[in-house]
Amino acid sequence: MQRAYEKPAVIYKEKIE
Amino acid sequence: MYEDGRYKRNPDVSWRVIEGQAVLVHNREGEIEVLNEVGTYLWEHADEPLEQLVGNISRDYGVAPEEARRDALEFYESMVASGALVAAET
Repeated sequence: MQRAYEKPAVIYKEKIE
Repeated sequence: MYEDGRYKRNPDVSWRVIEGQAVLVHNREGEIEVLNEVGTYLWEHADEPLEQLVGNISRDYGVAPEEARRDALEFYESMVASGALVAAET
């Protein structure tokens, strides 16, 4: 079964303090 | 414009894949980034020819090669912009 395609992306980003 | 062989993963970025998603830690900037599944695949194989990756994504996800290539280039360019990918030594 083929997997659903999602455009490659950063899905979470955080600055670490 | 992103081109094969011109960039490599930044050695200052620590990373590992957790449950199918790459977690990148930019040690100098103190930032973390999490990539989705296709982004993780491209990140893990950033040192391989783009056309090979595009072919694999097109086959595995049933997406047109043109779309896969466009998205991969856009993704890699964003990785260069964030500093996750840096120019490879000549």
